[in-house]
Amino acid sequence: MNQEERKQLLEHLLSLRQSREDLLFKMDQPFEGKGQNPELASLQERLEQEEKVLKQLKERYLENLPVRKVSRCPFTGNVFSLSIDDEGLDGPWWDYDWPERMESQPHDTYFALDGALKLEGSPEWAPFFCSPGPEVPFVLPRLLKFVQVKAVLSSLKIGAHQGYMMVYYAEPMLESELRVNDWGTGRYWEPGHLLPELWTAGDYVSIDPNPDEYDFDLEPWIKSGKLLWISPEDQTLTLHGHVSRCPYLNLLGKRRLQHMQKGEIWWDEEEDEIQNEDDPAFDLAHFESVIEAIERGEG
Amino acid sequence: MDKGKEPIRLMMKKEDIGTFISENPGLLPNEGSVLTQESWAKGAPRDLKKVYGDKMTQEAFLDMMTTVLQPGWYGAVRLVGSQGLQEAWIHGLDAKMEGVVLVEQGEAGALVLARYDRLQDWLDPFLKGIAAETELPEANYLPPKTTFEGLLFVLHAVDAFRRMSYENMLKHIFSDQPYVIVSDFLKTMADALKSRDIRWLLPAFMEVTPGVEAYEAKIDPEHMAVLFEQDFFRKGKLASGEDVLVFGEAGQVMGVEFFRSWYNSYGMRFAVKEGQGFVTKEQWFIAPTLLGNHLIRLDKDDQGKSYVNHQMFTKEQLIYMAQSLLKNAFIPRATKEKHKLEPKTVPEIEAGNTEIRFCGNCGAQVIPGAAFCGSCGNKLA
Repeated sequence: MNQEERKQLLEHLLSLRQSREDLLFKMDQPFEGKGQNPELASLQERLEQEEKVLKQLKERYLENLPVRKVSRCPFTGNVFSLSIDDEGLDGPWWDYDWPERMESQPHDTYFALDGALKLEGSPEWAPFFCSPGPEVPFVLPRLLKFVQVKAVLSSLKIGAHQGYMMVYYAEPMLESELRVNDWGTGRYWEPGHLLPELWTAGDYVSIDPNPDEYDFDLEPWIKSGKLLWISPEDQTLTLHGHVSRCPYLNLLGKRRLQHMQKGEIWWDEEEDEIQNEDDPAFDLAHFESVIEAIERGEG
Repeated sequence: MDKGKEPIRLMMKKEDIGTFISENPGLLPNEGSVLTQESWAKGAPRDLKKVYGDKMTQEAFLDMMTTVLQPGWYGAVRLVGSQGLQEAWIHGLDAKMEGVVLVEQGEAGALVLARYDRLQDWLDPFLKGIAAETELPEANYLPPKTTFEGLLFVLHAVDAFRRMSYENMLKHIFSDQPYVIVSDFLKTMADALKSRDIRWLLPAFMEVTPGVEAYEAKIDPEHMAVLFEQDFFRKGKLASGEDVLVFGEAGQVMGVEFFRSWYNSYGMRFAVKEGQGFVTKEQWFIAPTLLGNHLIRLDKDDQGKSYVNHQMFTKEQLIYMAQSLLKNAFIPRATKEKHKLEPKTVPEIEAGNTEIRFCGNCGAQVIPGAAFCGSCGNKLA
């Protein structure tokens, strides 16, 4: 699908989604006679027709999403592929509340998918709420504290923007621990358990994102073997466990959640101009290196 | 191991094995039995009942011998440490992994047979005994997947750091920019492979990992790429213009780790009977150090390309992983296909099929597939 076709598909799909919302809202109003009301029956008929078309458009959208090799499991070495809209942030893959994503069956060690995104220029206009994370990559110590969990940091372009993916893997699988919402969405899929004594069905779980638990100081996590990285644009997806030459350290960018809708961007809260040591985002290593440089007379 | 789960042990002279088999013709050993080795089967016939008493006819003993002589799977275990190279074999009948029998060399030409109720009754205490007591995770400087040839270069890079450290100590040299000359690195690698000197990591890996001879060990500089990718080395030049390899972050950290705290290695290969033969399911090299337990798994991908999965595990992780991998290895193929869990297998290749080549220039034996002679540097056809 070329860009023009994608644009037309998105316009049609997103306008129909809006139309469906409007119809549902109208149908939720009180009608005389309820089921016998001709206006309500007409709305119902229109809704069914639009939903049919909408379903076809969604299928076409999903079928045309590229499947990118984005990460590699640090335990098995298996490649992790993802169907993702990397043309821009205007596709409903990026809809925080109602994302359109392919149901995938990730491999056995997959645990969670998180991400960050640095805008290069203005975001694409989209009617839905989009929240692709902070501008720089980070890890969740809450997950990495478990001995069997590791994360892999990689990057990919989302249109003109720079995306960062943090994929968490667990071996053995970590049970009974909240994961993290899938990158850019407000929910993640919690698989069911097929235990003889307790069967539970899989379900979507939603967590309130908490930037206070993000750790942007990646170096100690790499040194401890908990975070591995893949070089940008490395098609071989070679994993690295060394700190030297890591391109993801000390990146500049906002460390708060960025949100966008209809071309507007806003932030959870602005960073303090002067950082202090109580701030979780305070980079102590960088601060110390600056002080040392000053002491050496280089500052 | 829990008390009460002590294995039943039996000591048997090697030369009596042949007599036992001739008295029990229904127990001819299959190729998975350690007792197929001809030298063990020879010996002047003795009256076994006179030597071993009633044991020979007891059901428990016959069960043990059945397991050892006609196993459904076996594991070859090699250990190298201060005692030199030792080997033991463990046998089992089926995927239940119960009633397993370990066969070890005893004293004065005897074999020691020990029957454990379950494989884990032997495996867990064994791993607990050998694994380094580490609880904190450490960096893995060689994450999966790496080619087999790439691994050989990495192991030699670690040895090169150790060698340089010993030499610097002898000369009272301190260096914060340790390096090795490229030509020395390649030559010492070829020497190391030929040496079978298990005090060095590369030869230890080749000697201790059972079945590793089935993998082609090419010393081709193109496989050195992993050393630069993973920062074991950076390219450098001496003032004289000579090319050198400067140890990078991974080279220094792993070099120091193995220089200071590596003493023992362990190799294991587990093979399961499939059809008429045995198929290798798991093949490991374990090197414990003060920082953690290096587990190197050998495998081949769908295209038959050899690769390794190197992990840095805590003791607890190592034991879990060993249990998990073996459990998966022993699941019958049909069941795995059903659940789409089939791991890649390593087909067994006869060690005798390995071609032996010699350099046309200096006459030294060369590694099969090597592009250059490791002794004189002559380009090989």
